[in-house]
Amino acid sequence: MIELLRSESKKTLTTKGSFILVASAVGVVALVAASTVLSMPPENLDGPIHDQVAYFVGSIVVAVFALMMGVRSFTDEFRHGTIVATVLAIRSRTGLLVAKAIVSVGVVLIMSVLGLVTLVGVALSLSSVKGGELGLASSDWTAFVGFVGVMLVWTVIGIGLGAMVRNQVAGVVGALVWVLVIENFASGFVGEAARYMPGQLAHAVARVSGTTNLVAVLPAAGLFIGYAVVVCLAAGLMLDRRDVL
Amino acid sequence: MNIALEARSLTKTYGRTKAVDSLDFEVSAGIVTGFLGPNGAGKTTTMRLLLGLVRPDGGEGLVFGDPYRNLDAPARRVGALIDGAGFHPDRTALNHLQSVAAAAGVGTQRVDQVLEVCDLDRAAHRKVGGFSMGMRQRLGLATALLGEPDLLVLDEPANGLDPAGIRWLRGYLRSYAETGRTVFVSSHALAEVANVADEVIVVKEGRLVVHERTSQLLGRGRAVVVRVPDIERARTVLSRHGAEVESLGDNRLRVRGMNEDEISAVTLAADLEVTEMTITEQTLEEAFLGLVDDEGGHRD
Repeated sequence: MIELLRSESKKTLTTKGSFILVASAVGVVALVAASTVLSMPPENLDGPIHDQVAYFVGSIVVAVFALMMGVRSFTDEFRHGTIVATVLAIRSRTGLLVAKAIVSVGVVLIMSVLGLVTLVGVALSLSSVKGGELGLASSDWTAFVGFVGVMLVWTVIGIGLGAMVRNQVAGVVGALVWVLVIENFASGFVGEAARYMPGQLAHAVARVSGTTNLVAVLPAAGLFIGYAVVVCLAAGLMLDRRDVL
Repeated sequence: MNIALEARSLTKTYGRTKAVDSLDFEVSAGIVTGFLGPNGAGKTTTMRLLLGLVRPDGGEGLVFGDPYRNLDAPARRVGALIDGAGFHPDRTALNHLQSVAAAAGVGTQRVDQVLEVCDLDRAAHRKVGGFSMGMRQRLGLATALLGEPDLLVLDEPANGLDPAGIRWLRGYLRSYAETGRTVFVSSHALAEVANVADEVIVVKEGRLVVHERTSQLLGRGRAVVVRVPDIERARTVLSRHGAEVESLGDNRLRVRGMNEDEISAVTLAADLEVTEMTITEQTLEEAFLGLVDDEGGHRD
């Protein structure tokens, strides 16, 4: 496993893709935080950060980038044909899946912390400039832990999706459509059951306000991780059985 | 002799097309074996099946007696270049090799060695996206060599190489086999295979056409051209002794199935005058085309 981790780290650090995704995530979060705070009247800029619209939108933005980071881990290999050299050099394709997940989770850990720091920094400073009273509450810290944890789980889901879909465009578009479209309109189709969908569970774990009827944090975390486990088990099975072309 | 690669009733179907059809052959260890066939004959699919990249619909492929995926340290047993290796265009040659070496458990010192062997040391820090096809082939070969494997499986390794590169490759593969290791190489450059391969396996439409020593295959087309004043009597006499005789005009006959000594003995006994005798050998290309045409298929 150490050898696979060294190999995957090398791959991740020797192309621009990961750096661009991290920088883009931080940049978009800064933009989103600034635009939402600036668009609100000062009297609404009150209370803990995790109750703010900026936090809600920021959590979706970072989730999208975390998913993309995961998806591209495998789809990059299939897209450029490096998967052949990779699978010929290793004994276990399941080990490869685990190594990719660990390395990508490491990168997304940095990305989500940077994103969160940017979000909070921009929101607090612009709120202060506008005369708002945004501040860090004790409940924010548990929300932030949930925020980072959620991003790591999204990454693992992305890894599994990428291994199954293999086509990079299909993987990225599919992930975007799921997070930005399906999750937001699901309640219209599945009613109450929408609260058990991955995006809603993620909101519950990150204590995002603005969404009602969320599952309690611990069961939500368990279910959300369950989704990631199921996706990765399916991906592991498919990696093992499908042809590598 | 030890067996390095083995196809046992190997079968693979894509849709309605049987890419590989009950293919059986063994590749002996310690020699160079050429793998030939027209486009679409199933060469690349067979190699993928042997390396466990593709699951067979029937039969099995074995590497040193085991399925590839059961090998303990696969990169140290087998190095492969399949269908033009893939590289991330933004990654340098050095970083590509280091990432594969890490996965294979090979030290970075070996990376420097293969870069030098494949004449890529000066391009090590260049991104692969800017490489020519020949350089990409060399990098693919360098990747295959990383684990100092006992067996090299190379699919069209001469593609994109310039004449000097092809000559280098020929010499390298020959010297590789001389160290007791095995090379299994597919190629369209038949002259190169003739120069380097000890044995040849020819496939067509996923089936085995022939597997024999290269010298035997070339010998199949060996003929003796004789010039005789009495061409009709010579044709009768030689045919009576089992030779296949073909008139070339200008009092010349092409004789197959008898060697020059046998022809001399027969014509001497029949008191036939022979004014000229020339031995002709066929090239591997002629032998190959003869085989695939005999099978009634197309060729490129």
